[in-house]
Amino acid sequence: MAATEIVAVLDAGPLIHLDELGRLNLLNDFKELLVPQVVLDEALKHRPGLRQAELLNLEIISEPSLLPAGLLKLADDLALHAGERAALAVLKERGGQFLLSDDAAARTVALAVGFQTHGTIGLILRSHRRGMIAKAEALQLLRELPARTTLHLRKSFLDSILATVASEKS
Amino acid sequence: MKTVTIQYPDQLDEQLRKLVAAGWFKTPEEGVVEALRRYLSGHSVELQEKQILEDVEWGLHGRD
Repeated sequence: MAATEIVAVLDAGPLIHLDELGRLNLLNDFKELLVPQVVLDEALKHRPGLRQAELLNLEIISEPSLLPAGLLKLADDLALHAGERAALAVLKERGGQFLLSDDAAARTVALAVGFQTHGTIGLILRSHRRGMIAKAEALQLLRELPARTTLHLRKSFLDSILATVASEKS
Repeated sequence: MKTVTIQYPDQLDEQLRKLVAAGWFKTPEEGVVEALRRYLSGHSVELQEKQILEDVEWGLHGRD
């Protein structure tokens, strides 16, 4: 399946969590995958062996531009981290559509200024929808999130997601 | 601003000071505040779960 025309910018969360699952390749389904250097540095702090070579369309942005004033105010209000600010700056600068993040505050800011945001769980399910992985594998990856990744979820919440996905017609 | 006096394990202190030395934070206090902010942000349960449920819907039925 050909990659979509979407330009996506990575925050550290999905980068770390998909690497923990050994499935960074699920990020290869975008036209362009951009990551600020500061985000990559953060991910490498957590995952020194991060398999970034699996990311075929990855472009590392060394020096993102500064955030516009309105966005800077929102970023300040929600005390966004340097990596999250850089990811938002790259989205603006490069005309991206998606912020890929598991950080609630960063996603809130991105949504407020009109970007779509998606996280690790959405990316796993999208990969199934787009034929990259079978439903059984998507379910298995979701089941393994608590044991294999640092993405924290309430057990009952994850169970409800698993039930929703399992009940979907393939 | 609040002032809190805490005790924490030497091992955590060692890790924190390595981050300060590496330039991630100007002071250990700044590192503690950042760690707290990250934890509270990541554990805003209602917001996080609302976003994930939207993501499940997009993952299963989105068009992009």
